Order: sequence, then C-alpha cells, then structure tokens
Amino acid sequence: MTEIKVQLRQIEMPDVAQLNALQETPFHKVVRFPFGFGQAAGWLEGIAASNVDSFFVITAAKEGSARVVGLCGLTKIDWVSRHAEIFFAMIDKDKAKASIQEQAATTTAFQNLLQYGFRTLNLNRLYVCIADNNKSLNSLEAAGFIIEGISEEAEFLDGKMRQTIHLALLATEYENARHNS
Amino acid sequence: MIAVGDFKLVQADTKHLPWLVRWKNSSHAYQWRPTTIGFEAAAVSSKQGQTFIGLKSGAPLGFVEVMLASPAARVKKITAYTELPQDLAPLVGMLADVEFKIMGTNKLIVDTPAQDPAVKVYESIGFKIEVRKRQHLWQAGKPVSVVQLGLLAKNYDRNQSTIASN
Repeated sequence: MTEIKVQLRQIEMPDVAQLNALQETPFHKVVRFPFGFGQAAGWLEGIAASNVDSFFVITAAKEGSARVVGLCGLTKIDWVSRHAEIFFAMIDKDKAKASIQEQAATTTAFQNLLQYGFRTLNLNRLYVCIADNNKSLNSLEAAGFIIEGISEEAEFLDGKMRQTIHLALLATEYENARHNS
Repeated sequence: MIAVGDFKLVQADTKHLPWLVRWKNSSHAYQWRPTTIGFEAAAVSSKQGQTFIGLKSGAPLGFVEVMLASPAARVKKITAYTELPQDLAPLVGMLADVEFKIMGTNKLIVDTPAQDPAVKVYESIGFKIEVRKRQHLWQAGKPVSVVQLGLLAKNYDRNQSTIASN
C-alpha cells in the first residue's frame, strides 16, 4: 500500500478554490470563510498579521501528488494564559472528490496540530467546542480530550438551536498519553 | 440609558476612558492586562462590541463589555467588573434587562474564575454553571480554572427585572 504523506503548511492564494468547499460544510460557522478571491486576500492578510491565530492547510500526498484535504489551526491564542481554540475541518470526501484516504490524513494532521500547539507554541491547554450533532466527538475523546461541559442553545445550525459540547486537553495530559503510548 | 433607583447604565464614551483604564489596570480585574487611554478609545468605538458604564448616584462604579459570541444563536458574552462586589448584581441585572428586552438577545454567557465570589452573584441573577474550563486562566502566577455561566432569556426571572421594578 502506498504511504500517504500528510503535512500542515501555510495557506497560499491558490488554495482558496479548494478551501471554498468548506463553505458547504457545517464548519463555515466557525470561520466566516471568504466567498471569493477578493475576500480571501483580505482574510489571508488578516491571518498573516495576526499573532493570535495560526492557520494551516492540510495536504496529503500519494505517489508524489499532493492536494489540499482540509484546513486547521489554532485561534484565539492567549499567550498569557497559554491556551487556544482548535479549528479543524476536512474537505468533504464526496463534495471535493478526494482520491486519497481521508481517515489517515485526518488523524495525522490532528496529531500534528496538537504537537504544534503543545511542543512548538508551548501552550498549556487546547480546547474545542462542537455542536451536539457533530460526529467528531468520539475522535476527540480518543485523542484524549475531556468533556468540560455542555452549553445550552449555544449555536444555531440547520434551522434549530443546538447545544455545544466543550472539550479540552491539557499539556500534561498530552505528554502523559504520548509517554504511555 | 437605563436607570433603576440610584443606578444607571450608560454607553461608554470618551469621558469614561480614564475610569476604564483604572479598572482594567486593577490587579483585581478578571483578566488583568495593562491598558492605555488610546487602546480603550479604540475598543469603545469598535463595532466588535459594546461597553457600558454603571453609575451609582452619578459616580462610576464599574463597566460591562458585551461581545457577540454566536450571532445566529443570539448569544453574547459579557465581561463585568465593579469596584465594590455588591454593585455587580445591579450592574449585570440592568444589562440583562437591556439585552433580553431591547436587543433581542437569547443568551448571555460569562467566564469567571471558579473560586471567585462573583460566581454566587451571577447565580443569584439566574445564571447557571455550564462549563468548567480547567487551567483556563493564568492568574497570580498559577493556572486557575474558570467556569462559564449562561443565562437564557426564557430562564430570566422577569419578576426580578430591574427595569420592571423601576
């Protein structure tokens, strides 16, 4: 089986067309994603100038050809309290007509993002809020994230109010899990 | 402007900047950050949120900032501070009246250190603890946990409404 090479790299303008596929996913509620290249330019400039947001595109390469399969990053970085909120979205396999296995890319990219947050930025806490119908809850718990609470009527999705589930992972928990594995 | 007895809630403007700087530079503030007149002037005029000043018999007693947290769900996040703890409830109560009755807000949320006496104050207004954020805040040289409290419009006790009682 050919190995899939997954990388996080900075966003470039040519990526925007592929990333616009995210507009059709529920993730667009998290990032008000640009709807055209003009807005994309402004958005990218804002990201580049920000010291509290750090976004990457996720690329997956199989037999040499790399393609964008998602967008991820850390946002609302608090350098004093050393925490940040995780943003993570994969381009829908069918809509984007992905030809590379998404599951492996998702797991690897997510671990890379955690490593970047804890071991490069020296953050103490990474957290994420997801709607109660989000399918990624099990994956987050498998990665070590702990549910810290549920917020009522916190999001409006698909025409109705939804609860959001708050999860977080501390640096000590991350390092212990790596040590034990 | 909202007035209840001796208390008033007014939109912050430039004349309140020295007070905002004084309060935010206080080490007792929730998330202490050194600030300046210039920075606060930009924040007050920003469209990202609103800043209100609480007055008691005409004297400033504290501030409350309101930010949109989830626009589609009409959820707003508040940050409130008063010099005297007993002034917090009337300040937040007046704001809740404004948000639920006038602005159409469906929910207010607030973060506060888990061990802070303010938690009881918010609960007395009707807020409920929803989330316990472990080690979310660096305060006095160590990480401390923070609770997120939420108050839904439908759960807001309108009999305690400060506007109604005025």
